[in-house]
Amino acid sequence: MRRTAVMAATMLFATLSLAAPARSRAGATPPVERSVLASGMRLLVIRQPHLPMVVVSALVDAGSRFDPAGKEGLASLTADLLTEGTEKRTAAAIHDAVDFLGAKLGAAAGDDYASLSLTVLKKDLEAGFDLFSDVLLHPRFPKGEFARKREEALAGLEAEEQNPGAVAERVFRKTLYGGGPYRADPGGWKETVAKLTIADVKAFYQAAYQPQRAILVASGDVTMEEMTELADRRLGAWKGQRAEVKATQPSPPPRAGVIRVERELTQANLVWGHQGTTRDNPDWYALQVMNYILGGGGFSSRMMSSIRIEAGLAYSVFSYFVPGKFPGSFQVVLQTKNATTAEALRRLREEVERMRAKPVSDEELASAKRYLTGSFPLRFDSNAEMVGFYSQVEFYGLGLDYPDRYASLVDAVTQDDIQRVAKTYLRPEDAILVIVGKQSDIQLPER
Amino acid sequence: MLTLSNRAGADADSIGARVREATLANGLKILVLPVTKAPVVTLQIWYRVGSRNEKLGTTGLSHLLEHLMFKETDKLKPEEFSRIIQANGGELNAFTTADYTAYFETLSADRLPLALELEADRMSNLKLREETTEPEKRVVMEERRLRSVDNPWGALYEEMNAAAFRAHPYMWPVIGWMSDIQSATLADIRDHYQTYYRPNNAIVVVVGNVDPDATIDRVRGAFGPIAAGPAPRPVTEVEPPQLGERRVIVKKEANLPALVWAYKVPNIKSADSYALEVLSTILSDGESSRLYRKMVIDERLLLDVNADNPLLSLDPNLFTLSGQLLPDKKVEDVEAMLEKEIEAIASRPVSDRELQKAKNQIEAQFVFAQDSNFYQAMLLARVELIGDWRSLDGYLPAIRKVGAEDLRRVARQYLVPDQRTVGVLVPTGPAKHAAAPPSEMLH
Repeated sequence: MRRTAVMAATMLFATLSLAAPARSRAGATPPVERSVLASGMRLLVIRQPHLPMVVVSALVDAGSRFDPAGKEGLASLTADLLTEGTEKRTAAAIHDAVDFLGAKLGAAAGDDYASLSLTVLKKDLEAGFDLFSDVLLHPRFPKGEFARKREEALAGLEAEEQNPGAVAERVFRKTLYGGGPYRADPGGWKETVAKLTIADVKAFYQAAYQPQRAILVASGDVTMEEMTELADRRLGAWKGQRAEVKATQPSPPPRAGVIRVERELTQANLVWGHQGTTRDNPDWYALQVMNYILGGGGFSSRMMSSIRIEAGLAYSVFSYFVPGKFPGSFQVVLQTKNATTAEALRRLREEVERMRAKPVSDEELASAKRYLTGSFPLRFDSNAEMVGFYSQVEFYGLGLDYPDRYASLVDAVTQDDIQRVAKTYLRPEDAILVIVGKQSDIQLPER
Repeated sequence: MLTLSNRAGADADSIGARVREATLANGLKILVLPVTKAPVVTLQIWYRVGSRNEKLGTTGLSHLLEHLMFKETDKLKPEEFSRIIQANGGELNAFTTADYTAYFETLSADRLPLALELEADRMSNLKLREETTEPEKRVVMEERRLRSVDNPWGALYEEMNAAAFRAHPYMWPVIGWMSDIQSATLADIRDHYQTYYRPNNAIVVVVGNVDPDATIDRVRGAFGPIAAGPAPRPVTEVEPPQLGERRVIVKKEANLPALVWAYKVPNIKSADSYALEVLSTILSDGESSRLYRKMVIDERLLLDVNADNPLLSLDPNLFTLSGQLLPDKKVEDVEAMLEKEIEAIASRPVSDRELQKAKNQIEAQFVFAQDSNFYQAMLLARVELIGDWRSLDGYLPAIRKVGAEDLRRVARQYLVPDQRTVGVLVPTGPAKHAAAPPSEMLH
């Protein structure tokens, strides 16, 4: 009956979830308020009084895009260590206090930013926020916990080697981004994580964890007044440092090519794609509509129709543009038995070429828009989703009126826009193909 | 501190008072829970059929049929179901387990009638033809390769279940054995559909911004005309007592060894299940839990550890303890320490504070679970499947009653070596580290 028990591992879904749909709809705008605290930290509060609980998150501009060359994994290890000891609490004391409240407290780094999150019953908000602010402001990075968390990070990377999809993604990133900001998964690489030191972590924390780089977002049974008072009291002493963090510069895109990784598997795990674009590109919405029709729209997408429904070649196939402060990627991901790799790839390329060559139909365009705009309120099914959504709205500068504007942004997309972005942002001639599998059994299509 | 309880408030403690129930003349059970926070609704329809209703030789039929439910009906072309829901701003999917098959649509509350019509249509009008079933069998075989054949954890769990059960259908995987998927016939699939997809074998759950009376009327309008079918054959298999430890070794290309200990335990129908629920929390929930602290933090044997109590399983199932080993650690050392920890629970009562901590965790999670419409609908359905949704309100009171002595007793009774099935994943050599520059040109 607990969350993990209900979502049992033995549950088989008809399909993997749709690739991150974007959304909006009039009348569904959540009640959000925003302010800037004296420290420079931004605060957003979404009041949801229906349940006696609160989710609070601090998004900090401290993602893995700031990892220096040779220190891939640093932002992630730093986030991992926040909850492992402060100036006044040991790691064990923090764990015990969090568990006794029945709360959840944890931090993790992504490509662009890191987040510290607390989920707590309303009646324990004071005690929970005390722990939250302590680990955010006063982490101690003790030697023993550092050694343990680094060992865990390394073992986690070792475990990832068993996941062919993760291996394909890692090789794809490394090839696509070269020395650029998204070259590694936030977890880093074994050879770089092994060399990280406490001094690296402390220096990164000092430089990147600053109030003017932080966005505090709360959703639940809480008001702006309560959160302002709590934040002033617990986080008011947070002072910015002068130190600077810089992401490495993006590398020029690589040559097209095929990279094969040998594994004893019955399926070929494919990632096919090339450089994408940034989240702030005005073409973002046209790209979302185009990608929904191409490979993002689950059973409504052309790739799913051709590769899964018509030919039965794969359980899951989807495409997506990864958003980012720097240009992300465009990727198509699928798995198929070794013998049908060539056929699946042929169909994949055929759909990309067709999207570039011919306009989408009126019906495809209308359906895509109706999905994207109509499913927007489904983003707010829980406090955690609300916090995640508004953290990103603020981080990427979309504006609090984004939910109101979203529908018109999507509805404004025309067939011509789709043709134009397909020709501009789908570039099969630049594509990198990563194949993880038993290479002797995998043939590529002739061209 | 000891009196610090996690009671969040009467409203969050009781879901039952807010649920509206109805049963149609054809046997369809309807549960509606209004939640007004957002203009959205989740519709779920649960069929009482899963891999436990199957036979060796035709395993995986329930899951295959779940895929085929997205194909054509008398009114709809293949996959049109999904396209209509998506074009109405909805999301949808389905899932199959050993115990049930469930379908859901999440969408704007004003589109609920559409989803109801579509679900009622495919409950009775599904068209099954070779032209659609054959490609879908290939899709499911790809799914099996993805989840089990090429996945060390998937392979380990399959082998462990096959060893733990001798008579009960929990012995085979939900997705079915490869040769069974391949050889499934149209007649088998049609028979499965006609036997189990009946209103008297289903539960409709609606959670969201809806009026309960109007919603029940709508459900009646959509499903009322569908005829009831004969009651499906009950699952009569009872697993005989286990006479000693069973052990399976799975050798596969992998990087870290893994271990699962599985004990046969009762489900929610037994009062002991609540003590087992608290016990699993004490063992592995949170970083201060016993196994996490000892085996992940202090002794650094495991990368992670998880205890899982099958509270809502329809038939008695497996209480599992599982984890991946850190590099260079030995399975024997992990097993010795697990044994010691279980012995500790069985011989010494846990402290009042540790017991209270576990109860606080369970109570808080019960509230957090209500944050999502989808999850609330799922809880109601799962409790109804095993008995009566009303017993959901009895969950926290039963947890609160668990005492330290109960934990000792259930540990002694169920977590004993002779009742254990052990699964060990032995890597046959690490998967090679990937590197290599572009090796061929594509164009």
